[in-house]
Parts: sequence; C-alpha cells; structure tokens
Amino acid sequence: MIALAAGIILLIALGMPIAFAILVPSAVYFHTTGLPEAIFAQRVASGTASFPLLAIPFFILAGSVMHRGGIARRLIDVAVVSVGHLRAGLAQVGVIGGTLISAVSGSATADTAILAKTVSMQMVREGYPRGFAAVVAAVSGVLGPMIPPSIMMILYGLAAEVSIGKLFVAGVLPGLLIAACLLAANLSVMKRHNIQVPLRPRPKAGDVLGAVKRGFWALMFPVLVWVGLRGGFFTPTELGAFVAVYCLVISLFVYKEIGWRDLPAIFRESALLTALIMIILASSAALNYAVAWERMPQALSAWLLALSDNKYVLLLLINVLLLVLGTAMEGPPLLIILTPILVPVMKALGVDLIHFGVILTFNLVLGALTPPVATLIFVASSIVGCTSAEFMKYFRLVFGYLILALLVITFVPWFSLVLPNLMF
Amino acid sequence: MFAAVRWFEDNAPAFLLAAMTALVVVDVTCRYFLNVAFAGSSELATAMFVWLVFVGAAGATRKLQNIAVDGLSMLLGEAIKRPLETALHLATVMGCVYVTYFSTKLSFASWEREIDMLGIPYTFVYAAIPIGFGLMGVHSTIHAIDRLTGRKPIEPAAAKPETLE
Repeated sequence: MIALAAGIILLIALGMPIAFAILVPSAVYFHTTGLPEAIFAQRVASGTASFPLLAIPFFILAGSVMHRGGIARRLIDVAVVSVGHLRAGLAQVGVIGGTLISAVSGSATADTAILAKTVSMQMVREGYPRGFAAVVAAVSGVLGPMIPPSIMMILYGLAAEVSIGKLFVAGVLPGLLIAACLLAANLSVMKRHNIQVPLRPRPKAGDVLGAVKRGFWALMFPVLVWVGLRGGFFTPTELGAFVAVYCLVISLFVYKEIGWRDLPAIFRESALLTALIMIILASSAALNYAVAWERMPQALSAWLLALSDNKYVLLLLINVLLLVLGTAMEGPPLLIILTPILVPVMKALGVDLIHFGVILTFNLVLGALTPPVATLIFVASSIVGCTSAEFMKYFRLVFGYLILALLVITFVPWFSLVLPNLMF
Repeated sequence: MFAAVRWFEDNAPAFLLAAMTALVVVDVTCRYFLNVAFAGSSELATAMFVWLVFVGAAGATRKLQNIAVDGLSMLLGEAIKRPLETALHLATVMGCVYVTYFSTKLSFASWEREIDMLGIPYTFVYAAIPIGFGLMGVHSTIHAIDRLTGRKPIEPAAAKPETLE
C-alpha cells in the first residue's frame, strides 16, 4: 500500500495527468496482489455509471451559460446599487456580487474571472490599488463552491454517501459567514493601507429598482434552487438539468446575450470540463477499492486517535493537512482522492459527515489561493494586471480573515448543521 | 481518419450533454405536468453520461488537457524533461491497454444484463470504456513518439480550461 501511495504521489509530482497517475499504479497493484482484475474494470465503470453524478455536468453547463449570457453581470449590477456607495464600496460589491453569483455558479475560478473583469477593473479605474482589486476578485471566488449549487459538494456527497440536498443547504450559512468576514477584511485593508477613494453617490430609488428589474430573472435563480431543494420537487440531478435550461432560456430569449451559434461552444466546454473531472473519479474508483482492501482508513483512524482522542485537536490537524495538500493540487481531484480515506476517520471521531463536507470543501477551495497551485490568484492577477508582490501586500490580511472563518466553521458545527436540521 | 476521430471526440460529448439535459427536463416535466413517466429515461441519460466521460477524456488526452500538477517538471531542463515525458506517456499507454483489455471483457460479459425497462444490453454502455481508453492509449502513443523523436505534434496542445475549482 505504501508503494502504491508513493507511486501515485511520484507520478503526480512528475507531471503525469492525475487520472493516469492514479490509474497506472492502481493497475499495477491489482496485477501484483492478485486481486480479481475484472473488479478493476467494474470499478472504473461504476465510477461513472451513476444517475446522481449527472448533476455535475448540468451545474457546469448552468455556470458556463450564466457567465456568457449576461446573468452574472446583472447580479453584479444589483450588488452595485446595494453596497456600492458605502466605504470600500466597490470592494464590497465584489463580495456581495460574488455571493449572488455563487448562488448560480458552483465554480470558484469562473466566478473570480467574471468579478476580476467587471468589479476589479472598475476598482482600478476609480483609484483602488491594482493588488487590492485583484485580491477582492480572487477571495470572493471562494464563495462559489460554498453556496449552493456546488460541484465539489456533489462530488463529496456521492463519495461520502450523504445527501447532496443537505450538503447544499449546509453550505449556505458558512458561505454567508465567509462573505461577512470578507466584508470586514475589506474595511481592514482600507484602514491598514490608508486607501482613500471618493465615495460613490448613493443610488436613487429609480436606479435600485432598475437594477433589480433588469436582474429579476437572474435573482429568481437562487429561489428556483431553494424551492426545488426544499420542496422536494427535484432530485439534485433533475434540479441541475432545470437550472441549466433556465439559464439557457433567459440568456437566449430574455437577455439575448447569447445566440444559437454560441451553444455548440458552450456545450463543448461544459462536456470537456465534465470529462476532466469524471475521468479522475473513474480512475479513483479502482484506487478506492485497493484503499478499502488494505483497510487504510482504519489504520489512519487508529494512527490519528493515537495522537489525540480530542476530535477538535484532530480536526485542527486535518485542517492543516488539507491546507498543505491544497497548495499542491486542485480541489476537485484532491477531494475525490481524500474523501474515501477521511470519511471513515470522521465517522470514528464522531464528526457529522455533512459538517465535514463543508469543512473539506472550504479547505480545498482555500488551496486555490495558496501557491504554487493558486488558480484564483493567477486568474485574478492576470486579468487585473498586477504583480505577485502587489497582490500579496493586500492578500495576507484578507487570508487571515478566511482562516478565521475556517476555524469558526470547523469548531462551531452549528453554522453547517442548523439549516439542514431545520429543513430535512 | 484522424480528422474523423477528432471530430467525434470534440463533438460527441457536447451532443450527449445536450441530449442528456433535454431527456431529464422532458422526463420531469412530463412526470409533473402530464402525469406521464418515460420508463428508463434516467438509465438512458446515465448511459449517455458514461459515453460523454470516456469519449471526452479521450479528446482531452489528445489535446493534452488532462488535469496535472506542473510541479517538478517545471524545474527540469529539456534534456531530462523529454525522456521523462516520453516515459510518462508510455506508462499511460500501458495503463490504457490494461483497462481496455479488462473493460472489453467486462463489456462482452454484460451482454445478458439489460438496462431496466429499455432492454438494451449493458455491453453498449460499458463499450464506452474500452473505446475511450483505447483512444487515450493511441493518443498517448502518438505523444510518446512525438516527444521521443522531437517531431512537431499533429495538433498543438490546447489551453487547459480554468473553471474546475
């Protein structure tokens, strides 16, 4: 088992695609240990042949349409008339806009890109430092996978065998807590770095009504998700399909920002993203069999419990471990690999699996903010045009607030569990 | 031949995604509003999804778009990088051959097992795996030869999508 783990880590470090870096050592393991090789093929097949997994391409499709179809821009317009006139106004627009967009999209990177192109560029034009403008877009992106719908939560729910609907609902309060921390962080940055920008004028009632009217169909999106989940009308998969069609209809016929000619590219991009994630899941299905066969989760549980029998100490250790791993690999593949290993450990520790899903998701999204695999930083910095040094000058303080939010979410399960317990 | 494979890998997953979406929405709409249920629609959508994943992954392998970590490889010089990448492509080929062989056996062994309500043998669902991994193996062989000989690739590597996280 150690050779298998070492082989996977080495191949990933050498740059082999993650799906193959998992698949090749797993195949060698099956061949050398005499496990029935028919099981290998069966596991690869069962890794994808599951109806609930279809929620992933549907939400990816919805996110892709949202970003191209003008839905995200209208949500940002609503954020501008809500908080744009306050101190650190445009920075706060980034956070509130990110929160609203998150309720439609499940992708941090896509959200960061749209925020950087719109809010951050406007921040630069109005005199905010480029580094701070990029930080606002990058950190607001972390809300994407926390507030439903969330592709990472779907992956976790299927791997941990917990309700995806409950996970979606569980992410709402932690997502809002993170947003609140980011609002406070923006004020702290303004004060610490003595950033002086003129306040934007308070919007007139007509402006507010106009923005809300223009964004009405986009604002109805979270309502559709909420009612669909709460009312039990749809499974998460069916909800995903409806949401994707809803986005297509309002982008094509109401906002008219995409045409029929754009659809092939949108579908191609969404299908490609789906295949990239799912091929890792298929490869991991064979690995997971080997992990269970070797009783690795039980060994890890025993090792962790030998370190301490206090679940909060162990949760802290796991948080640190996840943050470190998140610096080296993207969130979704890491989540696919770690969930089957960590879930039995959490069961042994008595940690609620819905709560752990929220912790794991947030932790791994934070990995996208920590170099070398800092996707959100690269996306935001390249769009805004700032150097790493400029970015880091403002980022450290904001990251401190995010770590504070992580600790609260980890040690106060109430935030994650109160809504699912009330609703389900 | 290569153009046909490229067209299939690039467009079939998109078509399947559109068909899956339409199938699920029509099924739910008919169930709630017309009180009519399409038997086997979720199984059919799942079968389409399996094909989407493996054909899409083959296309991603062809365009070198699979998710990878650019860790150590970025620090290495071309003299080491070239044989290393050739070796990694060849290891991928071996893995693909292994999966293709055993998933072909699985596909044929599933002839008697039919998808509920549809009566279609699972062979047609599982066939996506050997076809997908077979194509991945072919593309990886071509990449290995390209790297080994220094030949210019037939198709340049495409940009990696940035919306995974």
